[in-house]
Amino acid sequence: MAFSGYGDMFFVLLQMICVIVVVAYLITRTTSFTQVLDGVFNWKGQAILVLLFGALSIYGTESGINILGATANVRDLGPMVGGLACGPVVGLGAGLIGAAARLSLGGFTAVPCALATLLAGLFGGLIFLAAGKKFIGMQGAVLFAVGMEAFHMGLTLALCQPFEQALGVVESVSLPMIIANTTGVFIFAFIIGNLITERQTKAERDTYLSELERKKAELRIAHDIQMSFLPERLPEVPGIEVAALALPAKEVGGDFYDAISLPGGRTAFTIADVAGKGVPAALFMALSRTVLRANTRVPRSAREVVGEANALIAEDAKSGMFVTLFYAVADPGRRTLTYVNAGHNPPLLFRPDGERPTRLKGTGIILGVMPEAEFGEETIALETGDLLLLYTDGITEAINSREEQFGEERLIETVMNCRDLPPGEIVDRIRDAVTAFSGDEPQFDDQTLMVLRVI
Amino acid sequence: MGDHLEITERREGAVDIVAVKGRLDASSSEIAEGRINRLLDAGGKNLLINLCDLDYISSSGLRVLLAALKRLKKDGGTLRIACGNPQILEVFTMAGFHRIFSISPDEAAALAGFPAGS
Repeated sequence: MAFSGYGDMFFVLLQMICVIVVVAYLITRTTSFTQVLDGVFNWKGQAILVLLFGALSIYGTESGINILGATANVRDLGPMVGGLACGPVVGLGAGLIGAAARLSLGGFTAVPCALATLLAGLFGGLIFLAAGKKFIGMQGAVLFAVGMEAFHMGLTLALCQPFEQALGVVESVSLPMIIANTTGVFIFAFIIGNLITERQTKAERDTYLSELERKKAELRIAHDIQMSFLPERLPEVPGIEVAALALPAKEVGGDFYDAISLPGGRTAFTIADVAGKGVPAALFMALSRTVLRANTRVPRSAREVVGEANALIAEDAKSGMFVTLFYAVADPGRRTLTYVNAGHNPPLLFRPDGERPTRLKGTGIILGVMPEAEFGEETIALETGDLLLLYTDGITEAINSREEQFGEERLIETVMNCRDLPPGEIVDRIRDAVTAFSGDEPQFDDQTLMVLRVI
Repeated sequence: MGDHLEITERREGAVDIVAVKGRLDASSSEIAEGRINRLLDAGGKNLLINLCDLDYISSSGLRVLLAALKRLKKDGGTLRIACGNPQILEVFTMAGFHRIFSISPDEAAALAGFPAGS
């Protein structure tokens, strides 16, 4: 190509740069290249990279601008980048291809040019090794390109005779060659840098996502385990119909209910609320439920069961953990209900006369606070048609968009309007009423219900 | 959430006074817990929690009070509660809190209950 002024020359360089951008993008997206970034070196991948960077080197020669029998070119670019990004094998391989192609063309500067191309690949590779088998980064790569092209010019001056002719060539091509090669390396370094960041971000995101997935799976398992703590089927109790429902606010919750068969045809019904929510509450719930169940195995009064359970729970209660518990033993033979209320919100007893319900108030302190606490118990006579509603404060504290609470009054009203339905349907009606009341407000606390009817 | 809760702090001698107004429920008790913990982290040993203008307390609120009490007991500190609201006192009675907390009907009485010189 004829050289007719700097304008044309920079136009040609611009064309070169466009080609380099495309080639750089394509090479860096090959599997062989990303394998190298991952530290995987195999012969097939290395051979492909040698050919690609070698071809780039040949393109660099062919696209050059002829000046006084020498060519301003980007032949060194392929080997330099091959070495810097992929190591000495690729650098030297690409350098050999580029050098061989250059030698075959002959000309005044053939030997120093071919030698410089070979060394460009070798030096690039050595820098790769020195940097700890990784790409040195943008700044280092650009500095190396400037130095390498200056060295290339020095070689030409040292090896070509006569010196005056060599000096003439170097004077005209040195600036465009340094600019062109440095620009080329800059483009590659920029794209490689982007690729590395992109892959790191992706790796971090993948790790984060799989971690999240694992945590979700763990919570699902925790949920299943916890649900298995609740009775799968409530026991058949002669003379009493029972239904219950538990809706944790999160995957796991702190509420529980239980129905435990006792000797003498009696059954213990219990509902409890561990303060707090989520995993800490769920773990404490599991502990409390087991302790309570174990204590019902020994024949003793309701207040002794709760007192003993409290002493054990208090030993393990840290940082303000506590449980509110309602524990009631139904005796169908005597038609009595003996209950202990350890700080639980009072269950509601609806008598068949249609009057407002009686609240079964506290007979002792919440569990887990005072190991030596004593508990009282109350016994009430049961009549046919009695309806007992046990619930946790997640029901009455459910809020709507105006931050009003569902409250005890709405709960009583709901039950009064359906009190002759089977317990299972009453449970559904209460749940529907709470859901309709809350609307789109998220559920803040676990909601648990149990309905007993004496038949 | 939690805009229905108002917490003010002041200091009287060596006693930190935290006044909690509004509603202490599942959605707001974490805020109250954070404020109390900050005082205890700063080395507060005498804590007076004024609940005279508290309208409502849920089990989450009780847990906050209990956590503060346990922490102060462990560090050899004192916690006193001022509360004259019958509805709140009923919840305390239901939970058995009257047996483990020192509860006074108003702030002056609660303040007088702290050991002399503190």
